[in-house]
Amino acid sequence: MTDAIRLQNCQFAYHKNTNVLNIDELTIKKGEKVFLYGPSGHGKSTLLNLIAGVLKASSGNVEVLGQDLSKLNQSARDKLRGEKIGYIFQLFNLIPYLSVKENIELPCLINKKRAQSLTNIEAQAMALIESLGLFDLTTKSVTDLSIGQQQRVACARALIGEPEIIIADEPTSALDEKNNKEFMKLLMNEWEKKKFTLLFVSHDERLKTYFDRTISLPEINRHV
Amino acid sequence: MFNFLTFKSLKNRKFTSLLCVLSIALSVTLFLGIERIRNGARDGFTNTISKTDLIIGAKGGPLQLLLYTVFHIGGAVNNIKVSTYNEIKSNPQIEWAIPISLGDTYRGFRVVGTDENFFNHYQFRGDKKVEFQTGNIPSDTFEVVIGSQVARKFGHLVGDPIVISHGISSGAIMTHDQTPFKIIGILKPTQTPIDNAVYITLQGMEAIHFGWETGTPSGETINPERFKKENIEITQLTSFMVKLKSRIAVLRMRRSIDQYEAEPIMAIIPALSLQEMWETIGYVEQILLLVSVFVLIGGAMSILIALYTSINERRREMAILRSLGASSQNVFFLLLYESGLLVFSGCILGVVNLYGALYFIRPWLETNFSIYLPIEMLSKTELYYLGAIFILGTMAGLIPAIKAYLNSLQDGLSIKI
Ligand SMILES: Nc1ncnc2c1ncn2[C@@H]1O[C@H](COP(=O)(O)OP(=O)(O)OP(=O)(O)O)[C@@H](O)[C@H]1O
Ligand SMILES: [Mg+2]
Repeated sequence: MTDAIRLQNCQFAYHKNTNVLNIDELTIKKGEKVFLYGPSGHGKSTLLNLIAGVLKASSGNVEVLGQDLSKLNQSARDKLRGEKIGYIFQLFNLIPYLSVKENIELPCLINKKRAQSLTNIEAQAMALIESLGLFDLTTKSVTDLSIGQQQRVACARALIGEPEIIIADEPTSALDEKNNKEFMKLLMNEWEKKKFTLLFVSHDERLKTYFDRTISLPEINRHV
Repeated sequence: MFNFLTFKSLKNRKFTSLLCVLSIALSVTLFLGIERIRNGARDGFTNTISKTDLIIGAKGGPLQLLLYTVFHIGGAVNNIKVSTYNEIKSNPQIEWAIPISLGDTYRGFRVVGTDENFFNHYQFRGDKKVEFQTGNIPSDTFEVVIGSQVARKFGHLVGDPIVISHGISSGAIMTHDQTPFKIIGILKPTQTPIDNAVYITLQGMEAIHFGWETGTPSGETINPERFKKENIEITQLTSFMVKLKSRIAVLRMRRSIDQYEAEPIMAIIPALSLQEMWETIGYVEQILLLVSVFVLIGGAMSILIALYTSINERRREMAILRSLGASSQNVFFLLLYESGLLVFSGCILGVVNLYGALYFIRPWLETNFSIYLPIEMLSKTELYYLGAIFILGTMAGLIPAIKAYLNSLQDGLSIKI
């Protein structure tokens, strides 16, 4: 089993008879860096919600790390996500009333398994803070961070506990050119070290140079 | 997870959280406080007199008999003959009898003529007896014992002379200044009408009316020999209280007194009459209860409003938690836990406030309203109330929690604000 994510004949509709997604086949191997792009409103985020197990396919299969999500109940899917997947949003990734460090350690608090793989949560948090250049920010309130800094903290949080899959939903689209580059560089650095499966979503095609493979959602999604 | 996040989130919204806790605390304090005062007032009232089986006086209104004998309010239309008293007292079923003779006042406080049985047998609030702060039982004709409030109000000490006014109307102007009394004792506070009365002997009561047979002083000088206790003959009483050796006999005794032939008299059972009387004024109690329930609903509403208005601002936060592996149920319980914690802190603070408030208003309630409130542990009923309040408040948090749950189902990981 070398597939991290595998979709087959997968359909999804928010409302009956209006499919947003209809994907025959999508396979992402473990350790692969995949760039998924598509115009706005084409169901990119919806697809990520399916893979993260928050939404359930109307028909067909979604397999994540060998587990058929349709055979898992909601709480098992929540567990799987908490344990194996790191998620980065486009904006506002952080809980405003927690410190930078508390935000980074939060996944370990919510999912005990995520913490189990770590001997020392503190040490790993500090290592991530170090390698993502957040050292000066640990004591700052997250509401005082710039957007670029916030995204880096979000990245650190997604990476803690070394989840097998990282899903990033347009993490750079709110950043300027310079911050964009820096974020991509740091993310790729981490990937070099840990070789997680990376599913990166954007409507900015220029970013595809960073990745092993590029998938165009409109091409694989028969519906639109 | 819940503890940490809830604490941090409540701390983040310090001001609203604090207001919530305070408003719950206020309702808890008011609710329990009103309950305590309510119970204290009822217990105090219905326990104004205890252990006495029957009160006997001239035929008339039963309530009236209770009021003038126990509360020193109003007066009797007719007195009863002392021979009646003596005859009933000698009934072998009687354990003790306390004679009461009323009709005069001392600067607005009732003068009660009685004998040593009052000091030895009268009981209130269960088994409390009349006790002396200083001095002892009046034995001589012109000796008087005063209640604690009387002593407090006029700063009287043992040995002070006092002059009694004739009649019970507040504007009594005719005084028994020819026959001054000497204070020989001061009673301990009882939080009952005893505190507001002065006690003399039956002989003293007779003696001050020598030469007053027409209702006004005749001005004649009385031979001092006549004031000697052993020379005074008691002719009438206002009422008297009795205790029977066996409770079973009370009803039969009461019936036979109601049918007493020598003169028209009646008997009431004080415990029953007090209960009846409290029930007629009990609507006050109902209103108090209603007020406290409304206060409580207000407190619960404050939780609902505070949490509900925060739900939309926190949609983002919930989506983040979901992305980190939290389930929708986790989101639901997180909010429920927040409201639970607010209500719980409110309850604790409310109870603390209750004891604080109790400590401060207790003396004031005692002196002004004769409501006796012991500082006691929370009763079982009060714990039930607290439990009910906790559930009610947490239920109020249920609505925002359900809202957050539904939001998180709808939003998933993507949220558009
Ligand atoms: N919760 C929802 N309920 C109903 N319809 C939804 C919901 N979320 C998204 N949609 C619809 O599904 C379609 C795909 O939306 P989605 O958010 O997946 O697009 P996207 O590719 O991520 O767009 P963007 O690049 O703007 O983020 C859109 O037409 C959108 O209107
Ligand atoms: Mg999207």
